[in-house]
Amino acid sequence: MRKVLFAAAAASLLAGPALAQQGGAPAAPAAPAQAPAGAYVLDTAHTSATWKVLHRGLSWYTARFTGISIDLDFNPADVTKSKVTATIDAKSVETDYAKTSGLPTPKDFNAEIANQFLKAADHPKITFVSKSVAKTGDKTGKMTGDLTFLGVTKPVTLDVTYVGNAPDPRTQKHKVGFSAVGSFKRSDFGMGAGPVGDEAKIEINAEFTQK
Amino acid sequence: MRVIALAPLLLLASCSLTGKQTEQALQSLPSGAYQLEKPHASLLFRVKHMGLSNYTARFTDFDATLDFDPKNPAASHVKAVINPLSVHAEHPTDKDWDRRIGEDLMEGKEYPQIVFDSKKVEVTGDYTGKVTGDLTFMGVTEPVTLDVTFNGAANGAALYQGRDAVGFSAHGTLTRSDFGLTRYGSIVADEVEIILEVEFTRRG
Repeated sequence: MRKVLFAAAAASLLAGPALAQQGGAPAAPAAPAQAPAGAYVLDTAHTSATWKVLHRGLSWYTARFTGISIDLDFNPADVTKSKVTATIDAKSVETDYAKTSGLPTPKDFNAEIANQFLKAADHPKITFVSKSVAKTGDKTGKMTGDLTFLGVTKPVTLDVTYVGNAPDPRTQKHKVGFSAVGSFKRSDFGMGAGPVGDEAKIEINAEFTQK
Repeated sequence: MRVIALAPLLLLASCSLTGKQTEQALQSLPSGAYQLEKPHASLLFRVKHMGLSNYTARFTDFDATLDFDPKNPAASHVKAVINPLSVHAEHPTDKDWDRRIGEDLMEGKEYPQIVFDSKKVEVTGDYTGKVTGDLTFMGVTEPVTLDVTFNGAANGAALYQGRDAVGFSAHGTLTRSDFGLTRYGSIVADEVEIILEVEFTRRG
């Protein structure tokens, strides 16, 4: 199944006229069934870190962190040996409030969340260091690690889906992509109740390039 | 697909209000015109990039009106207008990236509005439904269905100067080639996921 998908992806890359237009990149070689093992760096241009909290029981307020770095040590032969270290800049909150048109009261809502709720001045970094990976399916697994947030470290488990691998058509370096979703209780990290629910959901969609 | 699986969880999580309280709050809401509360609204889209990742970006400028009938949700109607030039993808280095998506790819100058106009609301559960409407995108109108979850209601919300408020989560998928958007088909998937979180308040 995976091979078929990769073959299709590779074929579409080879056939891609858009790529040729983007500066005549050489044809990509067929993607191997497995991405190479080893160190990968985050492709921040194709990565998003989204979070959601239930606002007043009405909607899952959605925003992002724009400053995220992740180091991946990927072991495709035994994914349970893979490791991840992620760092999020707590000041990098992006609510898009400033870009929302027609609001009665302009304010720097990004700074308000970063400073008042995330205490970014005292705790500038949110970190996640993986401790274990359990395989749950062909392309899925559970990654448990230590989340350090507001100066408190607690285990959090992410449901990770391996999306795919392919060589970068321009650099020929290998790329892998993942989606990770999880949630934690804000109160576990000492956050007060406030206007939003205790559960915070996080979703990371990321691409990595072989180092 | 994942979002569908999460819908029941999401519903449970929203029930710090119990189901009964949610039901009471819903039933006590007046029917009529509701307006989007923009500070508490988000519209994300997600598309597979090179088979590698679920690329996620956002429209920052959109508005919606809801004609809501809590006693007969199937009689409700929603219309949303999205500014395609308001794409915000948060590219780390390319300052022209958002403009290229909104203007070059979605041809936002030629087609300055993406419009969703609901035609049918089906109730599928206590707090879930399917809203099918006409989506007009790049000059083409095609039906699109959204899976909608009612999260909760607030009677006379202090946050909203005493106005009644209601909140929904919605998601759906569309096939961009249906609307003639075929560019970069070799690296960007044809299927686009839409993720909405919205609050509305009573007007009038």
